[in-house]
Amino acid sequence: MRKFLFQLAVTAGSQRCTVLSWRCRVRVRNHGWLLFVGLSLVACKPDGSQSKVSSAELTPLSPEEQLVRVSMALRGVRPSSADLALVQTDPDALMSLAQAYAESDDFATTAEDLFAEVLRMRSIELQLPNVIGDAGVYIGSQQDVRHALAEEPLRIVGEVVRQDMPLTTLVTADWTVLDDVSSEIWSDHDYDPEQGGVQVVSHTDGRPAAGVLSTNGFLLRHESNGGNFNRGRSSVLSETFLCDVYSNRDIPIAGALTDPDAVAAAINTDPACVACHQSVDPIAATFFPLRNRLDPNQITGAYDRGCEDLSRSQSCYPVSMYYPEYANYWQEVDMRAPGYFGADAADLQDVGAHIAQDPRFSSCMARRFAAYLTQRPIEAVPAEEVAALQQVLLDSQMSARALAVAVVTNPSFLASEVGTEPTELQIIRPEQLDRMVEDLTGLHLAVAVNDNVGDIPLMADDVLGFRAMSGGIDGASVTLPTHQPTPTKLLTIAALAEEGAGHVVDHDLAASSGERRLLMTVDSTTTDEDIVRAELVHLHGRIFGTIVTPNSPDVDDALALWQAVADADSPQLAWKTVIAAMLQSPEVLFY
Amino acid sequence: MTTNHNDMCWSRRGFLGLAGGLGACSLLPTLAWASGAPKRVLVVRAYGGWDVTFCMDPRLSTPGGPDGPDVTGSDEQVVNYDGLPIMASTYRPSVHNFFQEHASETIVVNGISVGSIVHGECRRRIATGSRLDSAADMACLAAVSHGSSETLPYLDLTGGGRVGPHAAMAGSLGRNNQILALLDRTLEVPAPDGTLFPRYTPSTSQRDALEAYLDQRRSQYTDRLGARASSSRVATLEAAIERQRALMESTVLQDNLSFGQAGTLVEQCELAASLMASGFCHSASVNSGANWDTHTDLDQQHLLYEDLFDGLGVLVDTLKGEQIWDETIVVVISEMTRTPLINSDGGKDHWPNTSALLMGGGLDGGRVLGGSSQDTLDALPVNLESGLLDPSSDQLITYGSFAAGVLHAAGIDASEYLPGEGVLHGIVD
Repeated sequence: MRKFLFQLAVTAGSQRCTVLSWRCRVRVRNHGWLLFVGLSLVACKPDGSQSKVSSAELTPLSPEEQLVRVSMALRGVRPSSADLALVQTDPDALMSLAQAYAESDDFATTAEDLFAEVLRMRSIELQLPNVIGDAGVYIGSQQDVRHALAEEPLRIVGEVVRQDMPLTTLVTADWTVLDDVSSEIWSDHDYDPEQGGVQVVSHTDGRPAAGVLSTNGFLLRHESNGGNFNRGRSSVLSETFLCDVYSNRDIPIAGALTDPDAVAAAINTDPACVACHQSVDPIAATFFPLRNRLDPNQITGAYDRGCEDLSRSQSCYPVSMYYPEYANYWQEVDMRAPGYFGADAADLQDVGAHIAQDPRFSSCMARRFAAYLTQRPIEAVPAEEVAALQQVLLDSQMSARALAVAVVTNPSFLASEVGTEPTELQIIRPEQLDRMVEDLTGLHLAVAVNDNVGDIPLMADDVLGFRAMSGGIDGASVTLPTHQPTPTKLLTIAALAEEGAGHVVDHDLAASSGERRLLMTVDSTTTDEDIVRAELVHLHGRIFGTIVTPNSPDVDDALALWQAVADADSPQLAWKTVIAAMLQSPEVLFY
Repeated sequence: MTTNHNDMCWSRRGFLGLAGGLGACSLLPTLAWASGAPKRVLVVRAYGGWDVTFCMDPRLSTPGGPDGPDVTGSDEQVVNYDGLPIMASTYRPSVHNFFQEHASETIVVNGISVGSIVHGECRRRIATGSRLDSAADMACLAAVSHGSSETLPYLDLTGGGRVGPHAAMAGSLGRNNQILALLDRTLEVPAPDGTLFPRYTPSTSQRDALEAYLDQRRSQYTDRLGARASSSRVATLEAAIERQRALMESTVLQDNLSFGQAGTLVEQCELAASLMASGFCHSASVNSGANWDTHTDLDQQHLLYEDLFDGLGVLVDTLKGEQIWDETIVVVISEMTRTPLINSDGGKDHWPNTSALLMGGGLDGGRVLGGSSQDTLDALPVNLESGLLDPSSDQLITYGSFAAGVLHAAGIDASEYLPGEGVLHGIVD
C-alpha cells in the first residue's frame, strides 16, 4: 500500500482554500484493494487576507515521533527498532506500518478498551457469586468471574476487529464469545467444554440477535431496576452507537407526577416528556424478553432452596437470561410498542438492523474512534473531521481498521503545530502502560491473592489495582478517564517501571541472545563503555522511539546514571536503574 | 427516646395541621456571617439517592401505592432540634444523637433542584454545580484555591471525586488503600508464577541518581517541545511530580492506613480529619460506602441513615479534636431524593430534587434553607440572598446555586468556576 500526500490550493469564487489530502490503498477483506481519499479542508480565506490555518503552517512531527504516536494510539506498544529504522529512511512507510498495526491483535485489544470505556463494562461492581460453599459450587475465582462477565461483549468487538468484519456486526451478530467461566454462568449456548478456552458460540434460546446488545454481559452491566422498564438500556444503546445522549437532558418531573399512572400519562402526553420517551420507550420495549436484572442473592437464594421451588427471579447456575413470554410486557406497563425512531421494529434484532442502517451509527463510530484514539472529548471532534472519517468508514465497508488508520494518519494528529496552535500531547493510558511494559520487559503486573480472589491484574483492576488511580475508569464511580499527570499515576508508573526493569534485567542477563527482550549485547559484568553506549542507543530506540548516536548528549546522560550506579553497586543494578528511569521518563508518559 | 427542654415534639396530627411547606420552620433569625476567609471543604457522599423524608425534610405520612405499606411506622415523629425539624425514630438513634448535639451547628438545605433522575448525571451536578464533564467538585476547588502547600491538596478517599483540570493536585488512596503498595516498595507480594515482587527497588542513592536523571530529562524534553510544553498536560507535570515525591517522602499514609482496609465511613471520616489536620491534604471527599438506591427495600433507609449519622458524629468530634472544625465546611450530599409515593415493590424511585447538610466552618447553624412542597417534594422558590422560601420569587435553589453558595462560603469566587450561576448567599450572608 502506498501513500500519496498532497495539497491543493483551490479557488472558489473569492475564496482561496487550502486542502490537505491523504490517500491510501486499504486491503478490504474479500474486496481486494480499495483506494480512498481523505480530505481535510484546512482553511478558506478571502484572497489577500490572513489565513487562519494553511498547509505551510502545519508543522509535522518527525517521522520517529509520528511512528511512536501511531503505534501507541493503535496498539499501546512502542514501535520496534526495525520499524523505527524504516521510517527514518522512508517516512512514507508510516502509512503501511499504520495499516499493519491496525491488523494486529493489539489493535483489536485497543478497540476492546475503547468499548470497555464507552460501555463501562469493566466495572468494579460487576460480580456474581463464584463460590457457593454449601452447594459445592465453584465457578472460578472472583477475578475469573468478574473478567468473564465484563469481557463477553468486548470480545465481540475484538473478534469483529480481528476479522475485519463490518462494525455494524457489533449490533447484528448472531453469536457471542464465551470462556470456560462464562459458559458455566450462562445457559443456552453451544460452548464446547471439551475444547475450553475462549470460543465464538451461538445462543440456543432463540433470543434476538443483536450483537453486543443481546449479550448477557451487557444485560447484567446495564440492568433495569424498578420502574425503569429498560429505558436505561435504551439510553445506553443510543449513546453508545448513535451518539444521541438522553442521560444529560433535564427531566422535568414535578407536581402531579408522583404516581405511576400520572407518569405513564405524562410520558404520552406532556411535550417535555414525549420529546425523549417517544424514541426511548419503543427501543426499551424490545428489551423486555431479556432479563431485567440479576442480583447475586437471587443465585445464592436459589441454592439455599436446593435449586427447587424457586421464585421467578431466583436461579441456580447456569442462568437463563431470555424469557420470550415477556416480549409483550410493554403492554402491561402502558409503554409504547416496540419500534425504532418511528420505524417498525418487532424486537431487539430489528433494532440492531436499524442501527446498522442508521447514518448516525457510522457518524457515531467515526466520532468515538477519533475521540478515543486522540484523547479528545467526544464533543470536541470537529464536525468536518467526523464527516470525513464517516466517509472513510462507509467506503471501507465499515472497517474499524480503515477508520482507525484514517484517524491516526490525519496530518493534524501527526503535527506539532497546526497553524499557530501547538498540538496537545497524548498521555499514556493504564491499558497502554500495561501492554507497553509487558511488551518491552515481559512483565505482566499481577498479584496472586488466593484461590477465591484469584490473580489480580493490577493495571486492569480497582479493588486492589491501580487502574483508576493511574487515569483509567472503574466503570462505576469513575466513568471518565483522566488524561493528565496525577501524583498517583506517576507513582504507578514508577512502580511499574521499577518492576519491569528488575524483571527484564534479571531475565535478559540470564537468557541467551535469542531470548532477550531489551538488553541485547551486554552481560552482567560488561563495563566497556563502547558496548554500554551501544546498548543505551538501543534502549533509546526501543523505549523512547528516538534514534540517537553513541556519543549523543542523551546517551551521555544515561551513561552517567549507569556509571554512577555501576561504580557504587554493580552493572546489573545499573541497568535496572537506567531502564527504570527510562520507563518513567516523559517520553514514555507522553507521546 | 428523650428530648431536651428545647425540643418540640410534633405529633402526626399536629404536623399535618401545618400550612405550607417547611419554610415555616425556618423561624430563627438568620445571623449575618462575614464570609471570605478561606475554608476547607470536606464532602460526604451518600450516593444512590437518599429519601429526605426520612430525615431532614420530614414527612410523617408517606402514602403507599395501591397496595403499598406505610414504612414510616408509628414511632416516628418530627422533632425540632434547635430550629431544625428532623424526623426522629427509634430505628435511627444516631440521627437523634447527632442533631441533639450539633443542630445549632448544622444548616439543612432542602428543595435543591437537580433536574434529572439519572444517577451519574445527578452526581456530577450536585458535586460540581455543573453539567460539564470538565468541572471539578466543591472540595477539589477548595483545595485548588486555598491548599497549594499540602502533600496532596485534594484527597479523594474512595474514588469518584471530580477534579476537572486539577488532577495534578488530587489523588485517591484506592478502594483498599493500595496506594501503600506504591509508597512502600519493599512490600513483598506474590506474583502468579510463584515469584515475589518487588523485582527491583532502588536504594536511596540509586533513587537520588534516578530522580536527578529524570529531572534533567524532563527539562530537556520540555525545552524540545517548545510551544507544546504549555499544553495543559505537560504544564501540570511539574506539579504532579512535586506531589508524587512529597507522597514518597511522607510517612503519614503509612502511619495511618492499613492495606486491605476499605474503610467504613467512620474510618474514612477519622482519617480525613486527621490528614487534614496534619497538613497532608487541604480538602477531602469521603463516601458513605452504601448504596442508597432503594427501589425495592425502602426500609433500608433506616440503616443507611443510622450509619451515616454515626459517621457524621465521629467526623464532627474528630474535626473538633483536631481543632480544624471552624475552618472546615462539611457538606453532606446525595444526588437525588426519592419519589413521594411508595412504589408497588415497597420502595421508592428517583426524584429530581435533593437536600444537603452543611456544618462546621463557622457556619451559623440551626437553620433550614429552601424547602419542598408538602405532598410532591417539589423544590419551592426561594430568595437566594437569604435562602428562605419566597413564593414571589422565580428562583429555585439549583445544584448550581447550591454549589456556588458552598464555594462562596469557603471563600472562593464562585463566578470563576460557575459563571452565571446565582449564589445561595443564605449559607453565610
